[in-house]
Amino acid sequence: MTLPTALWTDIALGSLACIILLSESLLGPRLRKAIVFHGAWIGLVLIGILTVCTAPESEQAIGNYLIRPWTIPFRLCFCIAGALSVLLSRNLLSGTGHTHRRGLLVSGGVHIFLIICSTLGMFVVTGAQDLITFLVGIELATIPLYVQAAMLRDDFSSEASAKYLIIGSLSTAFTVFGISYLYGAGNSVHFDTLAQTLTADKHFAWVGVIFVLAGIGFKLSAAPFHMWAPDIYDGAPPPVTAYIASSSKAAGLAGLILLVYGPFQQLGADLENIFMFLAIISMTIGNLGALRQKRFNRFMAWSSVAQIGFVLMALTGGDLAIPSIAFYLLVYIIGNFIAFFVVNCLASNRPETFSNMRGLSKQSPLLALCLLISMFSLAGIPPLGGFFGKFELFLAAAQPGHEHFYLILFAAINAVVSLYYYMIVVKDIYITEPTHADNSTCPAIAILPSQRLTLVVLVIAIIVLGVWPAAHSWIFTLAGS
Amino acid sequence: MPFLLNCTWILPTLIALSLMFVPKQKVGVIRGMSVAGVLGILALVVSLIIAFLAGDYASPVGSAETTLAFSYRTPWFEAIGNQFYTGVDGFSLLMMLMASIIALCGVLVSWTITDRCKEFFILLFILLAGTFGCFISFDLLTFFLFNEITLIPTYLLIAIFGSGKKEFAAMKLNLMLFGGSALIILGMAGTYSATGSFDMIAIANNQSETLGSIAMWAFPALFMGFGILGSVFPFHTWSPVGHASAPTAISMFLAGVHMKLGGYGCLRAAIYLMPEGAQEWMPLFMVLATISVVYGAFIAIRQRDLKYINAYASISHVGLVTFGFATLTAVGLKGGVLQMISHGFVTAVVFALIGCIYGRTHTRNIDEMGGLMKKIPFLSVCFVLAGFAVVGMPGTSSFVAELTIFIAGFSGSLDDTLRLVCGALCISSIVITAVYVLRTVNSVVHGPLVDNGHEFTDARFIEKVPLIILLTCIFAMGLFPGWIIELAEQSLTPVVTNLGR
Repeated sequence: MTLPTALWTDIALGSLACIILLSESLLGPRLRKAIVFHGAWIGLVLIGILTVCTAPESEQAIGNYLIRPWTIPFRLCFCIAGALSVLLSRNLLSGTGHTHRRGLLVSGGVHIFLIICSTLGMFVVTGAQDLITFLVGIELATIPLYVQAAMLRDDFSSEASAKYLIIGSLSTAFTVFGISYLYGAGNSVHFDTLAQTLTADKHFAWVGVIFVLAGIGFKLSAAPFHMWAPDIYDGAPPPVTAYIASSSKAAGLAGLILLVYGPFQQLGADLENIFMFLAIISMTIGNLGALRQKRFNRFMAWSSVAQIGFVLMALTGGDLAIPSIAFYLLVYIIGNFIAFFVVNCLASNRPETFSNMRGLSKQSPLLALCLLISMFSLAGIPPLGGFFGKFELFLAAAQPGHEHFYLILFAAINAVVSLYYYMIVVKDIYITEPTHADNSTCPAIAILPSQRLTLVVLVIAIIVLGVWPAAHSWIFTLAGS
Repeated sequence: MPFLLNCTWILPTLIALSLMFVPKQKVGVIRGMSVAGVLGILALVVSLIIAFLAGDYASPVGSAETTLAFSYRTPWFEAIGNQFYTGVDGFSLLMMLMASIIALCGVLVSWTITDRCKEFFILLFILLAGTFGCFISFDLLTFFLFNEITLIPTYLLIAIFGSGKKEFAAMKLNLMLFGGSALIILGMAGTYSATGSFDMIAIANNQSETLGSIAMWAFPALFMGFGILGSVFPFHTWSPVGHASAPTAISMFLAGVHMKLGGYGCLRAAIYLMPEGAQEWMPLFMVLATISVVYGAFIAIRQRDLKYINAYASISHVGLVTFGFATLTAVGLKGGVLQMISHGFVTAVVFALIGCIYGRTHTRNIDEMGGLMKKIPFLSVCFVLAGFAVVGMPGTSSFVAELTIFIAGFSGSLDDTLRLVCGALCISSIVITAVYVLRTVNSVVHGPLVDNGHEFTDARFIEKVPLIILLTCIFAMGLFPGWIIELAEQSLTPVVTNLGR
């Protein structure tokens, strides 16, 4: 039996996790500092490159593990998000001489190890070919995050972790319950068999579908399964928040697409209606929630609920859906990370509220510009990547045979509402003058060289994604078929 | 030549980028680069026009093919059918000429800005890049993309550099214009669904059933989407607050050029692409346009603030553009195009003058002004001349444009009662315009000099230049409109032919 080339990435990721854990426990403090941090992010970047290089032309199987071409962009997203999340942890790692308002991570090495584990779990999700592997992948991707959320020593972090654990377990329970019904209805856990046996007239199957969708809905923080998001975004350590906001969503979406175009493929129009419903309430509730937020992380949580609504809109569409979601996720992850990098720099010595961000353009023009670009990319303003990303989601819902024009109008109006709150952020950093009270609590902002470099790279990346179509056509050739 | 054409948006982008690296204390360098930049754009546009006139790019009468000059196309985000497709016809060139002249004047008017001067010019050049990109795009998605690019700098320019309720005004302007974008997205999704392409010329020549039925709702979406940018009633409310709060140069550019992108989009992306939809929906838009014309003029009578007066006058005059388009005749479309160009110059010169006068009186309330002719004759004379242009006196560009539009209201069949009634109402707006213009001119220029008036000094050289340029353009177009009319007529041939199919 030969090993499919595309599987190398999964193996490399597993080995990287082992190396990090071993060096954390075996090496001396000085070597450990260098290897754990730099080894992890460089390793993840290299695995990302390996993912691109070994992208298969057609599906490659080993046993029940199947590597599909369309999952490659998603896997790349996981690697990028993992690497960025490691980089984002820099000023929270002990032994580097940095301080943070909320203290340092309990164990930086374990934190980084868990990021890689979680990434591996996401890889497993995209390779799943039966419901059991799928479930194992989802759990491997999520359980490390419960631990990571508790990595700071303050109450918020513990609270976030406990909430995440409870809600996450609940969602897993939903998924398992749904899977049991799917097994009952389809007599199999294998995707290919289920694709034949799950038909729209089996009411039994619909119970399973609804529960599995609800379980994934929690992971995606799609309304009405979104209530956990603001608290956990606000309480978890910044790199974990960023990771939950980006990679975890991407994995949930990859899993969702896997199910929709795999075992659920015969359910057709009724499934489209479910997604339409979820899309409409997600974008509405997310937007309404984001309008009145005072704290940046809570704001990002609500805005991510709205963003997921747009993504779910694309799932009502035709064959544009997968590539447009993949491209959107890439852009969304980069945009999100820019925002979290900026806010993490601010958060090292002040609470991350909007009032503390006033006058940022004067204190640090670089951070202000980065945040501006991030907000505009999330809002979908050209020439940034977010424009094409969001626009294609609209186009996907307008394809012949899937013409949901009312949904498009509704979503377009929601996009305008979302623009309002993104512009409020821009207004706070560029236009509103800080009051004396805001100013007195604002010490100078320290940006680490590594984070400054990352920010510049990310900003360039998001502009390039918006004007240079190479990445876009690459995703479409892989995922379009 | 295609490269030179694309330089009209590449050049401003490069200037904006290079301005970022100039230290902000070096105001002189920033100003110098800006003036050089806009002069460069003007030179580009003029050379393009000369090349265009020398070549044979006119569409023969009755032809449905749009002949594009200097066209260039390359696949861009091709996976979704998008291509980077640029070119010009006479219509776009005329708009670009107007835009570049107003941009030059805008930069000259902004000479006195010293606070955050660097950001101001960077944003202005991004705005310019978006505008010129719009005028040369013949791919619907690229066109929309450039249109969106213009909106964000507008927000920052008004919110940072404006006056009065600037943050509210900027936010309102932006949200309403993005609301228009939402409608445009809907319309584009419709055309994409029917044709799978964004190529404007291909869509215009597509006579399939699917597009025909989708046009029935996609047309009003596109037309109204761009109509919001063209401040068509009832979605005009962003424009008075927006234009009144913006700094002078931005008011000039917003009212003079940016608003015209709305009219340009209505013609290029709505009427041209979906003539069947246009025939179906035009009565509604004709009524809305007439309301804009009359309502805007009436509101202007009651205003006291000079900028608000001109902003409402703009609504009224841009309403005439929509009215011209709504007649769906060759004459009406031509009149609309002429009015877009003419109004660009007229409103720009009025906003420039208001800026100059405000710099002296420190008030824009006409009740607190008076007798300026005694102390600042140059500005006052310009103000009177600009007033003539607003009213549409013969010899000014507005006369040429408005006359054409009014003729369109009454030419052709006399059975169309709606058109005749709307036409008559639009003509009546001349009288209302005369009321507010004469009253304004009278109370600003004539009468006793205000108390602090003795300190006023007349326009400096740098202020005179833009005023003279703009007034020259107005009178030149009023006296020698021939080649402009010819260019507009030629480029509208395919639109008119398509309307008749």
